[in-house]
Amino acid sequence: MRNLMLAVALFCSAAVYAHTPVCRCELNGDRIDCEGGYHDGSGAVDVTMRVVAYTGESLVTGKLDDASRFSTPLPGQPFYILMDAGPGEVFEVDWRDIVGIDGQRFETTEAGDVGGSSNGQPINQKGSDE
Amino acid sequence: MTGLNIVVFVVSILGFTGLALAMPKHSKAVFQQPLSDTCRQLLRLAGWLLLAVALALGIARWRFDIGTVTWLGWLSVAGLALVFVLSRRAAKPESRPKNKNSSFTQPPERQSGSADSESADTVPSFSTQHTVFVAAALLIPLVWFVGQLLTTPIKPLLREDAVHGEIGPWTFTLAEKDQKPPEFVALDVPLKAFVIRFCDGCERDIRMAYLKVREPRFFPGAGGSLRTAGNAFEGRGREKTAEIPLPRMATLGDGLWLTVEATNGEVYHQRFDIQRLSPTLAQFIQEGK
Repeated sequence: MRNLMLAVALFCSAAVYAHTPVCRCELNGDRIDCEGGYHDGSGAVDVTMRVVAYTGESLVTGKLDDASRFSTPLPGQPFYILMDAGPGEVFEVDWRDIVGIDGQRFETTEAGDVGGSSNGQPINQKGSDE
Repeated sequence: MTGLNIVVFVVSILGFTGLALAMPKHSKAVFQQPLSDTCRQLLRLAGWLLLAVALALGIARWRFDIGTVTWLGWLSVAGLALVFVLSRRAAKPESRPKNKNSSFTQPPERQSGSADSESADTVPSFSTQHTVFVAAALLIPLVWFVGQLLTTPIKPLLREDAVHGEIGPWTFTLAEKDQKPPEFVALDVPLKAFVIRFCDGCERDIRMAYLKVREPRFFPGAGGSLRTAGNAFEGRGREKTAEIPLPRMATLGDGLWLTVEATNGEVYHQRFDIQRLSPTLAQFIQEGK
């Protein structure tokens, strides 16, 4: 009976939704200041932040501090910042999305895309979780 | 949708009518004579079959959850309507025996002849209060149910704008969760939800599915491009939901990218036109937020 009640309680409980990471980055001089968190306004202390060049080179890796902030020097090449809260829980800030940055700063070739087919063909990349 | 609701209601009321007529009390009231056992058994069978058909129609159109609830709603309305009609019919004078020698339509209590009972010739009538009460009992749930029916949105994957496609060896249906602009959440980030459902039995071959605006970029660390594939579809049941942020400088040309990771490690990507998958998101982008 107890198990039945537990099962009913679980079945009737509200759906558990993902904690969606959100991030906002701003250019201040030659540094990029980012504030991260979750969509409900809660902080994301210690969540990993990665600065990655379009070429795939990992430029900087750090974590959101106690104030849920992260600061990094402005790279000299096209890049993106990945707030990485786990597989399927990420927020990507492309350099063009950074507040205050010149949209023409990096005249880029779009190197670094995975080159996936638009018709659903396999990339044959072995995925693995950390 | 409205047409099928009417069909479910009509089939339900026919089913209930069959079940009611299979009862001696109601068959006598309606036909003025008792029905044979065979006839009543056939009516009972037909009644249950019709109720089952109504349920099947609901499930076929709205899937199990919504279909079952809709069927129960129409069952309630049909049942109340039938109770009202049969009660009125049983109380009408013409349903009384014209020949007092005929015994099968004479209710037993009328034959008791008790002193405090109404005389056999007295026809019971509904008082105004009784009629209002019965009408309210019928109309309140009917109005509530119709109101719910009209205000409940169609499930995203059953809408006409849902995209039916194929990625790798699997078919899927993908749609925006609601046809509204993205919702601004913390840090002024616009968030938009999408729903996906893969083909029956396909989920055991799929480890995870992701969605994002813009093509996934190469990622050097563990997980490869899966790390930049966006947010994962999650949730109970076979319909999964992903809430994805809209990049600040997104353009319509960026597209929406679905990534599916198979349990054998293969990864598939597919691009969707934002305008096709979510006109409201496209308009949001065009208006510059």
